[in-house]
Amino acid sequence: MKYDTLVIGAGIAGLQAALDLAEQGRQVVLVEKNPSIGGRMISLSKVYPTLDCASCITTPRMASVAHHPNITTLTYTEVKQVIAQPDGTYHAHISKKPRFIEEDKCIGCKRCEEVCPVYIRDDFEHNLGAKKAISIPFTNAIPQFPVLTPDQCTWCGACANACPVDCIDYLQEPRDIFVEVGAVLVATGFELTPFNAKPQYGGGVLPNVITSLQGERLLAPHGPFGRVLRPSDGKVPDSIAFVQCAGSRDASLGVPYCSRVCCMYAIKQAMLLSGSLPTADITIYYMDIRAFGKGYEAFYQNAKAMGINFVKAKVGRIRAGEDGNVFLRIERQEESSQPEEMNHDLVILSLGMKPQWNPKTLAWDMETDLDGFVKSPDAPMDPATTTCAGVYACGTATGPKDIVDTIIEAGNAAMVVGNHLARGNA
Amino acid sequence: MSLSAETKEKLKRARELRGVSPELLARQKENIRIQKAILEGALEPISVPDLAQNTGISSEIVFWHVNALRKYDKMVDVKKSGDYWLYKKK
Repeated sequence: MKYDTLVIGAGIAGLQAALDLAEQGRQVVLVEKNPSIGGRMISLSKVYPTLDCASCITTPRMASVAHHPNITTLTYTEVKQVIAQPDGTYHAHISKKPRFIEEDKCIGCKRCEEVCPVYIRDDFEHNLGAKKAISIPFTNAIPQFPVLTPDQCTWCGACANACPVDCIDYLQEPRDIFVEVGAVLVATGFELTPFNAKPQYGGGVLPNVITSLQGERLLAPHGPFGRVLRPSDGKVPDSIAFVQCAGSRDASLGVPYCSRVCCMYAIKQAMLLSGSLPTADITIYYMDIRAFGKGYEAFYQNAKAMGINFVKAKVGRIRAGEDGNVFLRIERQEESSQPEEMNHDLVILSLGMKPQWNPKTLAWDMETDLDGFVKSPDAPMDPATTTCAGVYACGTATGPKDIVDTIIEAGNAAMVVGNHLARGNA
Repeated sequence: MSLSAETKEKLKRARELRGVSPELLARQKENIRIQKAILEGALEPISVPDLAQNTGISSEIVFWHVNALRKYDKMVDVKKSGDYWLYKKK
């Protein structure tokens, strides 16, 4: 199959770039490794500084991509190899992972999920919630196809027995797809810095110490608990703390850079928590507040006016207290610097961003910076260009950035790719 | 709906090819036991700590299963009582 552009990653950057290219009349093949398009953004509660519903913004774009005649969307699919051709085009080997259902038959009725007896941790809810061994990834997933998790399946046959269209295929194998494209756009996004990178913070050990993306799910309308509750026992938290720079600006973790979004998402989550739990005491322990974007400083000042406590302090250690509570040992950086212990019901670690995918796995000439993000040799004048001719990048694949900057970069990348194709480079 | 002959054959081959680990079977058995205990203990509205105390299962595990059962329509949240919500078998 021939396309103008291969877009790798269907988060907000890949979706926006694919749509912009398709609107230019370009044929796009959009490859997403997860079972649904939407990326990180579809799992967020709201976006800053407008507090618009993230799902309400993302879902229409997902639907536009899925229905666009110039976009072929391949989900649950990974790029295995991309080989440059002498004429400037690329040949890509893509592998479609087995869902263990026949997609052309499935009607998305969820009967298989309802009858499956095996409950497992839900990765979309960052393990806070449950799903079945065969399940549709989340409510507004696109496409609405279930995925069977083979290493969790007991092969009881209940799903096939319940399926009204006989679409379960227990022996499905990965399927190879080969495409020829004129350009490649990398929009592979980010992942959080490791939860347990600082063992002294208790990440992954103390149930009431959670990640910022778990915090997003707690605040989401269809979140795992239906409301904001702490994971250890379902208590309505009365005192919530955010620990800033819990995974960034720390050379010992290999993440010396600022992740650029943690201050603002913590402030956003604090404001949303304040709305959900009006009597709760909410504290943000920070080194510096970096509110650099349009309207961000006003957003920060609003949070202070709402009664969010901002404490300039370093958190040295987090330990379990009684009844699931969590103690933070802090050293203030203003006034007294005597170590203190602060007691909270729930702690959210503001983890930073690291690249989701290492492009070097494809054995092409694309270089990364020392921090592992895709190198843009001509940034800031030409941020989409990489060290590989005909291969471009945008969004958090090239470095930490927020949604606003990601969408702007994606639009720019689509234009640059369009120019590349129009010049007849491919 | 009963399984077609083709699906039956595929299921049989999948069982032969992939098998089921003893750990998975043990976890599945334990999950069924926990959910049965939770549902039997939640005939009237009850909080997670009380359910945990009555069943002898840790409150963290009880809470995870309560939300799993809520998601799949086997339990409902009834009302808030103090710092906790009360849940009931549907």
